[in-house]
Amino acid sequence: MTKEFQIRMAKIEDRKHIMGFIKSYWLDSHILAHDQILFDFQHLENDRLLFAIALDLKDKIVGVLGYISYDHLKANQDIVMALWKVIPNLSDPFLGVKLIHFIQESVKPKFIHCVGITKNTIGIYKYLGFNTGKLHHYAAFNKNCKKFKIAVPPANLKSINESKSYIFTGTSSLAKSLDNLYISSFYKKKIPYKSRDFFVKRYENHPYFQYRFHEVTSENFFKGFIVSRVIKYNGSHALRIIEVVAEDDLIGDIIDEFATTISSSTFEYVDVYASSINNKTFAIKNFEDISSSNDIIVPDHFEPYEKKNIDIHFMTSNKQGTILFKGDGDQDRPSIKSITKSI
Amino acid sequence: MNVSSIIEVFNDILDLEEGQLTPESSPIDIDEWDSMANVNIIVALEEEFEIKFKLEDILDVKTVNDFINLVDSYTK
Repeated sequence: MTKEFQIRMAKIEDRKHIMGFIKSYWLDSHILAHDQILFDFQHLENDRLLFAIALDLKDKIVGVLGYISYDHLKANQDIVMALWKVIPNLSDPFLGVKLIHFIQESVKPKFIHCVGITKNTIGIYKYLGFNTGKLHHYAAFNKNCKKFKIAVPPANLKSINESKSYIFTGTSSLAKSLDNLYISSFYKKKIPYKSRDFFVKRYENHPYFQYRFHEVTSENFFKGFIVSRVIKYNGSHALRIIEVVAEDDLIGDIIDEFATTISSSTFEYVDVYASSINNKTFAIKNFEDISSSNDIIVPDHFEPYEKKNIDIHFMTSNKQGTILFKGDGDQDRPSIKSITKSI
Repeated sequence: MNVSSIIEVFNDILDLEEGQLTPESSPIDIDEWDSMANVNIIVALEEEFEIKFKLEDILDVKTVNDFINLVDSYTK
């Protein structure tokens, strides 16, 4: 530890100073600088804040590292980093790295992941031995859609293959799916592993977003569930897969077949951001690979709407390749405070 | 150990003119010396001197002189 700077876990009374730091040094309009409800939803766990902070000799915050715990009741669980910022031109060029090191030493996570890392930090993560990459962005377009107002689809729309290996049943609660999940043998070794409390809080109790749940079965056997969210813009709407919880080897096929559900809907498309899915069996079927297309546009930013494709980079300490989704970390959250809970 | 080779690494990565950098220089003095540049300096020094720093050894390195002493300790 350097003498000029002290690193410690944040206390609840640090909250307003962390929010002020985000406002001053990240973005003046950043929602976490203004919205305590969302701040607490993401980073308040019982009576502790999930933030490591670096302070100078005057006790002024000069760096923060926020994280989200996937199972806060147990030790050595997966965590995702959500916000990492250090004031530039400090005397210690490694203060940011020390914040990560501090989290590793004090929280002792099984694995650390982060979705939404900035490009100029990729070198740092690589140096620290983390795996980095870009989430693939896939979209399946609804051939019955008369006018695309959100996306720019390919010139020739694919016909959705109507194979029926899986049944998707919409549910208003995750309770039954979670009962099935925790008795499934595949989930015991899942990376990242998320607790029941986490899923319920993240998706059922989100303060602003309303999520949809789709239980996945095959021949009456539970195979997992999909979490989705409706995207609305310009009088049109689309469905975004936020997360798929299933056996890793099945995830590609499950997503691919989920495309069949939009044919009878009024959604323009269904899209998903994900890493490490077996794209040999996936992208060539119902979905288009947006990441490698110059002509197709499936926006990611809606506050405000930006008609362009967005790359999302990730890092993970798991060397085996982890399937991460847009729902991991804090990538799927409102950016402005005026959002209200709606379908 | 060749101190001028270390200075050259810094000048290359931070895009500085000769003489701009002193042994006492730190990130406070050089705008371009951010955390990413710091990692690039470390990687370049490891390649130049065919060494591999331990993370705990580089965490408290802050000035050019600190880097010179660190490289010295790895190349003795």
